[in-house]
Amino acid sequence: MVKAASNKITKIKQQFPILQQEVNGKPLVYLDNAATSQKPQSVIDAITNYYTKYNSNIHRGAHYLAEQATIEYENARTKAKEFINAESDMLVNFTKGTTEGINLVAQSFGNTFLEEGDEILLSAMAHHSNLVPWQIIAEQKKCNIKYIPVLEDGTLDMDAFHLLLNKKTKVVSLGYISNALGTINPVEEIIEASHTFGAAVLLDAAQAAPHLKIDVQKLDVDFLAFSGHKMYGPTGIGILYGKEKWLTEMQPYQGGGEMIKEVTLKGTTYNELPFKFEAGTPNICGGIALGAAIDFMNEVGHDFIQKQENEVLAYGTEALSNIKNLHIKGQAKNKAGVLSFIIKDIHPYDIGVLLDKMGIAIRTGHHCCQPLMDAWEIPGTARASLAVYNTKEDIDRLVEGIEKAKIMLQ
Amino acid sequence: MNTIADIQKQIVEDFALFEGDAMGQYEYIIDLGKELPSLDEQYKTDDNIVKGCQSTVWLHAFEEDGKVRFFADSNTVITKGIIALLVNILDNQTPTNIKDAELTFIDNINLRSHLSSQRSNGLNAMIKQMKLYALGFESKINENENAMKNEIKETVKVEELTANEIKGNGNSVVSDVSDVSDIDDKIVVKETVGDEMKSPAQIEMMVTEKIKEVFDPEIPVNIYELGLIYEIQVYPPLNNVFVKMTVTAPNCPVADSLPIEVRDKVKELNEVGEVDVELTFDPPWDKEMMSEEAKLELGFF
Ligand SMILES: Cc1ncc(COP(=O)(O)O)c(C=O)c1O
Repeated sequence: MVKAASNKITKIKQQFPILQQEVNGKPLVYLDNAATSQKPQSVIDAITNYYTKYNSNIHRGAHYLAEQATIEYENARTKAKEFINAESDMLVNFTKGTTEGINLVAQSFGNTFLEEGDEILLSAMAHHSNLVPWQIIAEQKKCNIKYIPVLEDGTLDMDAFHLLLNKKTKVVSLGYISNALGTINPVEEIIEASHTFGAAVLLDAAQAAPHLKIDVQKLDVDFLAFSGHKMYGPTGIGILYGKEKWLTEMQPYQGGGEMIKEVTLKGTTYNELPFKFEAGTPNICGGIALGAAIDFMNEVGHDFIQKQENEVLAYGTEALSNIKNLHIKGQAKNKAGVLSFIIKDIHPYDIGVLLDKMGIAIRTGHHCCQPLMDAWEIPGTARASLAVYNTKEDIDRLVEGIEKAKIMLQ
Repeated sequence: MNTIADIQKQIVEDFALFEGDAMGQYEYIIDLGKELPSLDEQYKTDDNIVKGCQSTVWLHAFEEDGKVRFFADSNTVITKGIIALLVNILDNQTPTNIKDAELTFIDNINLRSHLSSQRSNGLNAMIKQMKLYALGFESKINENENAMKNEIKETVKVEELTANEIKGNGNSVVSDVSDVSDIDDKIVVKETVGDEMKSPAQIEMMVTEKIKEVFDPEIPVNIYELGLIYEIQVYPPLNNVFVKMTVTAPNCPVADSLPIEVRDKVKELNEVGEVDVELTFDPPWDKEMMSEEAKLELGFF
């Protein structure tokens, strides 16, 4: 049984050409998946295929290639729809990534529904991309932003959340999983409570999409955004899901081709969903390759991905905890894929540089969560983050590397 | 006394021992970082932080017997090791030698290949800051010598400069050092004592500071350091101000607006009366009119 799993991992790992190389003379251990994951051969092939066989503009050409490209692109949309169990393709918008998805909702939802004095509820551990777009619209619309505090163990202060929620709250926008800490937030509870006050909920699923099976209908979430590049797909493509009742009412985000039905000099009738929010020639190749990434995840299987990652995470948590003076940041019971840590009297940057020299890629810094790091009064953490191809051997290399770096630095 | 070139040669030789051994080189850098004495907490001020570094770097400098002393620290050991290399080379050298130093060791030990691009920018920022200090102290020393030549009895104290003073004052460091280090105090005096009379020289300093807030669009150096200001006259008792200035070229699109901007800026000072700004092209502006700091800023060195 154990053997079968490790065989499967070996096979999976072989599908990632980039992981077969040496860095600084050592076999690469890639533990920076929360920043971006590596891409399997099938995704790389999808990109090559598109440009070698049927590159053309979609939704308008009347020729063979255009037809081919349109079919593949819309096929990918259907795959994405199934990936998150959306009600319909028309609620699944292609974006360039999570950041664009959140900006789209902040601007379009904000301009349509927010009024002076309304409140927006965010979290103190949010990624900057889930803070700044809201700060911009809040300023434009004279709304107030409230922040749910983070407890010492890296979980949201849910008591505070319930206290902050009120009739003026119009939007609650939170990470499904924290990129800095790996905490899985209690999103069901948050969505249910928010809805009782009539607030719409946006989930930033950038870190959830690669790890969890997402079901927007079961969650009853209003908006959900994620990026292709963190789930084995290419950069520059992502998905924004929205409930029909919001998307039909919302103003378009950008104007241009693709998003219009009829243009006269007097005005424009907007195209139907999802094209209303997809102005201009999209990232066609990226969309198709995202479809291939979804295929890859489906083939490996969500259950397997979770089981494998959780096993390595548990192993890593245990192993890192045994390192003297190392403290894991983010000790939530419900966690996915992230080991964020600090070591007494050692700057995370120093650890990161030395690990890099040993062929181990991790991330150091504030992970785009400056407010959280400020609250904890630390300059940042070192973060190892997992994907399905990571193994216990990778953790062993990490631990060995940290021990070696510690000796050099102390 | 080891010259800058000698010390660099030694570093390059030390590094050669670790040819092809990245970890060994890091060990060497880390050891340097550990050996570099920590900077006293009182000098870890915001003023002493070197901007542009990813990790926090403090640089403290003062002048002693015609040499510049550097003391530095960082919150990461590796960065501290890299600063230690610079400190070991440039500490206790004359300002002129520091200013003119060619830091060839960086390429010779291939230091940048070990640094991320951000870190490499940080290295540039550190070097620039050290050279700026050297520039500041060089002018102070010249000033002292001039003062002695002029047989002015009053001894001019060579004080410590903070990074901000140097950054903020450019040309005036070159031309009028003893006044510059006092200017903050003077502004405080203005706020607390109110109507205390100021000398024309003091007013001129304040006018200069105001003019330094004006920028020629697209050039990231203020117009004073660019050398656009030819003359500042203060006429007591009403402290009317006359400024003669130029722009970089006669067909410059800001030829009309820049003098007005200068006038309005100077008028913000309560202490001055009427302000008259004259635009001249005699002599025409030339690159050589820039302060040394401006040249450094614009990459002319
Ligand atoms: C939780 C979270 N939200 C949003 C983002 C931003 O994603 P992207 O840069 O792909 O738009 C990231 C990526 O770093 C993330 O981890």
